[in-house]
Amino acid sequence: MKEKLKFPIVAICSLLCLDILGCSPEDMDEFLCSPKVETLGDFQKNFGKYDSGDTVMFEHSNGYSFNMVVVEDSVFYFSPFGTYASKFDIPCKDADNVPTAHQMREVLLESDYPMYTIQIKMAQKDYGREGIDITFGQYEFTIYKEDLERNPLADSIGSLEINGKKYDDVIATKGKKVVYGQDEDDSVVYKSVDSESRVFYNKKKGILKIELEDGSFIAINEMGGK
Amino acid sequence: MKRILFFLSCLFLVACSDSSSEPKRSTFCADDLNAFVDVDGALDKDSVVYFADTIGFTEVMHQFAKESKNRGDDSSSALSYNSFSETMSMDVSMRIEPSFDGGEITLECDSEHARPISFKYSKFPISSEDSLHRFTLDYEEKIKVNGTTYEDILVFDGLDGEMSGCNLKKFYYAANDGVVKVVSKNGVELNRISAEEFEAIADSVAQMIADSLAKAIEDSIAQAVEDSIAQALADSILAANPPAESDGSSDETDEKIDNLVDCVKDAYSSDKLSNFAKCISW
Repeated sequence: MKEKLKFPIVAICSLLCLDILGCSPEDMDEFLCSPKVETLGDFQKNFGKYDSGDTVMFEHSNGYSFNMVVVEDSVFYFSPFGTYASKFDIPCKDADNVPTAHQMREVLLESDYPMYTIQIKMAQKDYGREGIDITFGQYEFTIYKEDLERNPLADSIGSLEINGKKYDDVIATKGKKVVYGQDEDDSVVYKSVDSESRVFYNKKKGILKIELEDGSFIAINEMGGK
Repeated sequence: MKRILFFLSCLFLVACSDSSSEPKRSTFCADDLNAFVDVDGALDKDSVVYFADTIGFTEVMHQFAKESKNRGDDSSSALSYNSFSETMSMDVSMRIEPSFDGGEITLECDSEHARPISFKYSKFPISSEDSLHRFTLDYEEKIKVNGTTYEDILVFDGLDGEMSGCNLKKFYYAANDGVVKVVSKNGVELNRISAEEFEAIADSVAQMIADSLAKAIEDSIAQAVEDSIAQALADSILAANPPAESDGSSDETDEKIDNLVDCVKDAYSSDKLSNFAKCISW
């Protein structure tokens, strides 16, 4: 029965496509297959549970309290054909050569002053390592789902009290710093170098503290604020 | 008629006169933008500059400048400027291209999703070409920042700061020195300071952090000693008053012992001898 209905359904859909959507015969090929989508892992999806509009209170090591606002928390899909908000928009032009799209997530926290930005980016790749890239100024950190097992830059801190609140299962990972220079043509060039900076985090709360080489830091402050 | 033509010629010569014999200058009067291309002094090569506010924050900025030929016009030069801040999002990229009819300034703020902001120059102030946001570029002959006078200043104002994609409200750029002042969206000013002033502040902050760490370690040791003494006192009380078999099950006895230890610790912390009496009667 299903086989008998297949041809009429395809024919009706084709007519609708041509008539209503004005599709060309080439466009119709895009609907003949579905792209493979590599989705984010649970560690990545749930890291920090940041939502657009959330306010996260921080305190600088100099005692200054400030708020960072989650100005962006977006999930999108990157395929060989471009970037798409929905996986259903990803074209699939050749049923014999199905493209792979990667689900990605970007979170952006900003504060008015100090003028800080924390970028958190993640994509499902690297064979399940569930990496998360964090950028703070010129400092870059990469953390993984199994940091303690896989990342020589990661240390287990255990429980840590930060601004009067205790956090469990805290991990600290060393970062890198981007340094800039000029080449022989005076064009700006850059590279990442090892740094003594560290990011402290746990899976539940996300970023807890970012510590720089000079010992200064910003740390989450859930018990207080401005 | 001849007098009018002569008068207009004089005006032209006065407005565009320049004692420099630079062959790069365009024939039409575009002195304002050329002042930003013929860089001198600190902006001639890459440099590290420093900023401080009155709250307690400092910032280190690396800046680079490069002169190149104008796109589509080999007879004139353009300037590309890039600055990178170590912690705060106040990076600025700018390209200044004088031309015979004025020129163009294109700049980008530090933001992952910032788009280039274009300004077509004829005279200051100029508004950006972007129809969605309101940005202006203005010119000031000089500005005093932290006791130092800087000349030929471009003032960028993101009037529509909330929507701009720039994480700052305003910056002041001096032709020969780069960015000299930044104003945040909520009005805090970061002013250029010398390397010596920055080192002095950094040393002060480092000392403060070291003192804080030492205090934390001292407090931690003191707490550990306190706990140790309290535990020793509790052990003494237990030794003098061992629990009898009739006092309850093993678990109940363990709970009573834990309560005794906590009681002794609390009494020790309270610095009141009378509180110890409550523990002895456990």
